[in-house]
Amino acid sequence: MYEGAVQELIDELGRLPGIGPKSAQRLAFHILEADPEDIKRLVTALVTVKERVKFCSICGNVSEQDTCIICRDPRRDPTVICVVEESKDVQAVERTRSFKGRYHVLGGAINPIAGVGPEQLRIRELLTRLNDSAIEEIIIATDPNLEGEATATYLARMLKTIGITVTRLASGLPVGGDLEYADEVTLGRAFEGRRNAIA
Amino acid sequence: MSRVYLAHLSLTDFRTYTQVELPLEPGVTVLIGPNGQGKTNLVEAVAFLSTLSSHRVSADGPLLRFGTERALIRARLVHGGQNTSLELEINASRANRARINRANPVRARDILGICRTVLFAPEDLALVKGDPGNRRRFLDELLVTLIPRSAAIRSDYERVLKQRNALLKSAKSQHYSRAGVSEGQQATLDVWDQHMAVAGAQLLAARLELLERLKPHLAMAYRQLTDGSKELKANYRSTLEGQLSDDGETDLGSPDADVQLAGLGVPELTRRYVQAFADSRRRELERGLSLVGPHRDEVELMLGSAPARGYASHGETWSAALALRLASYYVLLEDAQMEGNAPILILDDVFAELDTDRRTKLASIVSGAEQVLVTAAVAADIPRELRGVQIRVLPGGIVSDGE
Ligand SMILES: Nc1ncnc2c1ncn2[C@@H]1O[C@H](COP(=O)(O)OP(=O)(O)OP(=O)(O)O)[C@@H](O)[C@H]1O
Ligand SMILES: [Mg+2]
Ligand SMILES: [Zn+2]
Repeated sequence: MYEGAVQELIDELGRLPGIGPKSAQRLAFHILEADPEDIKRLVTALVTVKERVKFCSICGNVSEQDTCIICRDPRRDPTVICVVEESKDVQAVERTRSFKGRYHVLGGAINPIAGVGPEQLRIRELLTRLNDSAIEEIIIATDPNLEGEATATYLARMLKTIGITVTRLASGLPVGGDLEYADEVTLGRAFEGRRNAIA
Repeated sequence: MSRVYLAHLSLTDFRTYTQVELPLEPGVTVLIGPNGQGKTNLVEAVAFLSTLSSHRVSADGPLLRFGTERALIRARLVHGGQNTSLELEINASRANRARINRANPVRARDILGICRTVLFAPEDLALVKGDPGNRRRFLDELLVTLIPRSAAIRSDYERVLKQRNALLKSAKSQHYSRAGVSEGQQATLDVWDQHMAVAGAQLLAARLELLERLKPHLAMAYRQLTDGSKELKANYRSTLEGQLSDDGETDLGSPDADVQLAGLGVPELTRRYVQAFADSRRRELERGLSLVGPHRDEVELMLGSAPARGYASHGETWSAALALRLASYYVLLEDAQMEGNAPILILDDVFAELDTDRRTKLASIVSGAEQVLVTAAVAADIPRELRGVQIRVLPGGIVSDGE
């Protein structure tokens, strides 16, 4: 344990995802020794991102305005929605250039151990969007791991009654993996080979 | 069948050993030394390289030498004249890793099936006397040794089970509230039912198939070890066939139902699980726990007409435990006819506990194996059939050759 401010900084850093106690300590001491100007820039960036960046009121993707660039872009195909877990998955799919439709960011996957059920995800918002009759197909692009698969099953079952085409990304994605780490070629192929999600 | 044997074992910060080198020969090697000197530690390392689990502890922590963060098990296997080097890193605070032939590190799971072992130990008595978890683990571990990719089947099932249990636990309080379990929660449960049915059916099918392969060998091994007056049988009792009583306990299905279940195939087993989960939904919500599935199944051992558990004598219990291990050895040998990967036998401290008759019988059976590693506190415990190379394990973790 360190005194006051140093320990507080270590504790705060330790709360970030993927940062254990040791890394938190290392970062804290790096900050202590760093040039004050560098740290000011970091602080400004942190504060600005929280002030300026919001979540798109339509799709849930990160955005500096009420709606994100993709939702505002009239050239995007309004008939297809690709459902992903996180904003970073939107970036991963965009990199493939295989997809011209719009997105819906759920904000996670069904994960009972972490206390995440369908109510905690942006599923109600998805249903609201489907009232727009322009939408013809939903592509489910949740992660190819257990929680992502369970979320896909949940969505497929729920959307079955609505009468929209629901597809799931083709396998070929490494099982147990994370969508954001899939390379562009594999992910692009997974889009082309997507299969009907409603058995 | 090509010869497979362990030619060299090297340990770093494993249990008592800071660093130890142990060169080995095919055939019988006996490790001898006073209690607590590290004989079991050596063979435990060999078995860990094979199964990624220890016969003494369920967590990896105790394998790391006190005060260290990382242990290394290194081995050179000779496989039909070819050398294979294996290196397994056991880490306190991150995932274990392995290297095969000094290539880049891979997941520890990727070395399963390369070094096959069958370990006999006094702890095996729990296979007969202990709770069903011991027998399920026996079957699952043999499954992974035989078919390494089934490790994924097992871990998938465990993950689904954990998720589903978490969901049932949180839904339990809803179940007892005035509002009851919401439609959304029921729908979420349906989803986990589906996924658990798929994972459970794969695990069940794999276990049933393996048990059918084991059955004849088990009966034979028991006959070899005893005078043959009683027959040892194993029946798979599935919660899928059983009736859930109101207190959530399961009456398991009839003993011979396993042969029929084994013939059903994964899609039909999946369908039956979905149905079974639906039928037990209310009781599972009451208990907040998954009551049906491979995690609650039993491998029942019968000696003649009586169950071995709770009825077998001490000597019969030993014979049944040894027979289970011998049967695994026979199944692996049968498989090795095609694979060319015969198992190394490890006998940790078993002879001291056996009477002369069983000692001699066991010794003459195992002496035919490609490589046998035996530990004993005193040389007098080793039957004449197994007099091979003797290695003394002395204080200070030093292993010296003492013909
Ligand atoms: N992680 C560890 N670090 C240091 N020492 C350990 C560790 N784990 C076990 N030991 C020590 O190892 C010793 C036991 O070694 P082992 O079980 O190999 O003995 P053994 O030679 O097989 O004895 P026996 O003849 O009684 O079976 C014990 O004294 C124990 O304290
Ligand atoms: Mg011992
Ligand atoms: Zn948007």
